[in-house]
Amino acid sequence: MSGYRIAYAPAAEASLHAMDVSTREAWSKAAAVLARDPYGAGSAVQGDPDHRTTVVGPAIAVYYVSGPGVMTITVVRIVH
Amino acid sequence: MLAMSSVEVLLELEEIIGEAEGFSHHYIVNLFDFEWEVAALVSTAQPGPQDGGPLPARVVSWRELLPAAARTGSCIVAAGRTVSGGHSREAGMGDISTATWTTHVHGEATRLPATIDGIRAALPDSQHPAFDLEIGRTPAEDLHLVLVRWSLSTTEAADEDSDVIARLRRGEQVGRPVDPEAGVA
Repeated sequence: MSGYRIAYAPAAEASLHAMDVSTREAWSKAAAVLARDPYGAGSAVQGDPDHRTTVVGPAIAVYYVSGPGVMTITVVRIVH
Repeated sequence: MLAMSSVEVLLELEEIIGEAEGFSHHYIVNLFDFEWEVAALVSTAQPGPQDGGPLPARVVSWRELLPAAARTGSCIVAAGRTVSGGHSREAGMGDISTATWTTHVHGEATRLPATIDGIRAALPDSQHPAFDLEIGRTPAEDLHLVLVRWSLSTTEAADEDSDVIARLRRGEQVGRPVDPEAGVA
């Protein structure tokens, strides 16, 4: 059980699809770790506690955590 | 800005890349037909598309090609769109740094400055004091995350992200949630 599901905003999805195979695999593994603890994992608050930034494998991600009842991490942006 | 003509760059690329796996002379010619700037993807990835599809993950300028080729022993030519928009800021940075990040702004692959000096040069003068203050006080372990935020602020990415964050705060769903253990979209 991962804890949170992960969704991708259009900008993040475009970056995700532009990754080569090995980079994307590394991203996916790291994203699964993030999904278990989106408020930890060395993440930094960016505006409010649910709006955060952290390193996800080969990239840096800006994301938003939607809590109880939704349990979704929305990756807003990927920079790598 | 390319300091060499496209033909000169093409000849250099042919000489450098030679027998590299996946290399296609026809492919490079097509890039120039489409008036794309030559760039190099330094990895074991496949060449980018010939017709304007998604850009490869890691695009470096042709100026980085020579040292990159020497370091890795292989290069595969990919394509970057002709420098425009946010890229012009990079051109304005002169020789401060060629290190960049890549992200997508309004669906277009966009390079971002990825050094303190490069980001500072891309910021308006009025923001330099706030940038210097924050960077000076940021613990080293958090520095890259703070730099990404400042770097993104030099493009329209910041506005694009603000819109998405506002929708999420209102409880809207953006994108299709998936279990990460089941793979990504």
